[in-house]
Amino acid sequence: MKAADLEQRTDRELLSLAQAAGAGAPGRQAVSVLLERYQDRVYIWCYRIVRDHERALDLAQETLISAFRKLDGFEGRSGFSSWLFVIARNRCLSALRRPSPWEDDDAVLETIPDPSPTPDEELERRIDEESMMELIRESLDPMEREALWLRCYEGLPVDEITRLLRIDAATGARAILQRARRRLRAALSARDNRARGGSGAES
Amino acid sequence: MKQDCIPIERFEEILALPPRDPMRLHLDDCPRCRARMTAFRAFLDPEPIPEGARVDDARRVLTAVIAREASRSVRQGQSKGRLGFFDWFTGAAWRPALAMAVLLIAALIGGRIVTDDGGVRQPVLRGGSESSAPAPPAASYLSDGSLHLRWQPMEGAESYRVVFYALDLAQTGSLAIDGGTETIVTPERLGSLEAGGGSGFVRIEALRGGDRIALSPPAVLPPR
Repeated sequence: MKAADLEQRTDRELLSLAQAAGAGAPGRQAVSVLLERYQDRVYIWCYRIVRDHERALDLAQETLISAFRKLDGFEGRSGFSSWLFVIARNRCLSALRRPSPWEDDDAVLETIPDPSPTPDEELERRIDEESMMELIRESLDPMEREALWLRCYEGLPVDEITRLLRIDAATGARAILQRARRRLRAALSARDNRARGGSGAES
Repeated sequence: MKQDCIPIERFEEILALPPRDPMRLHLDDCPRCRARMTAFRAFLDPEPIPEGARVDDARRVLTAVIAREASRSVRQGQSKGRLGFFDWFTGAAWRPALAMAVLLIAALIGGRIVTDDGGVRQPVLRGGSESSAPAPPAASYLSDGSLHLRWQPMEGAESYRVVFYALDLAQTGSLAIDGGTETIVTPERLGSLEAGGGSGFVRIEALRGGDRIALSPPAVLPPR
């Protein structure tokens, strides 16, 4: 089959062809066309996260090789694009030091690393993702929630969040993130006070 | 709360659901799923291209990576053709540095490094021993000047590190490889890893739990 014919096929059709043909030439050709279809997206996504061409290229390369090798085990219960996104996202997140929900981004940049845990890091250790979700829901408005989650759990840079959330203000997502963090600290403090009051009453 | 969250793998199908579908409604309400979906949409629709991204360069390298991976999958099960040391040896112009390199390689492959004081030091491997002797990596240049490195899997390895040496055996740089047994190093990256020398050696370290468990013999970097 000609490459031009393959390029007209949907992702699902290419996957079916690849799985039917196995390790033969048509199967490999189908996989190659499928991955080439996404290679720009994978690279650009990695670039958006790490902001460095060489690092992004390394991550994109690892993502595509990993996808090629894991494709045998891909059962087609999910869409190919979201499956590939999971691989790229996991690669990028493991390559990053994710920002803290507690520290402002400026503070992260300006602080000299100290081997001993800061009070914020101690707090973070105590609060897992589920508790954070609850706290975010209780204390933040939808825009703040999404901005903070994109920053701290999806690893997106602040200017990307500004673009994705179509934030027009001159300060972009930075001001929203700062406000969200302030509110989050206040909510956590209030929750801790409630918890201390509750345990005191029981004893 | 968590069990209601939508696995990212299902996001493609979620996009096709009507707005009032319970899963779409969950997306509106859940900060985690909402943020992940925003990220997924950005992945699918990469415009505008971020400033500084070199998409054309990346495309050229990644197309080569995919092609190599496709050809590698064919070679599996067949005899593994490696770029032989002597293939390069016979094809390259003789240079004084080459003679020195060959002598050094011979010493290293023998597993013995003669120290300055005339003594002999055995290479030390931490965290276990190799079950079989690793082969040197195969190295070749692609048409765009990228270096393609390929090596055999080493038993017990969780990841690898590619280490570059100058002709005097001084380490000039290294690259972490998170799984996989090949990599393509772009010309830009290569410049810093080879410390500008343009010739030297490359070896592969197999790592497990952060410890080196095996080390390949060196391969000479082919002439560009």
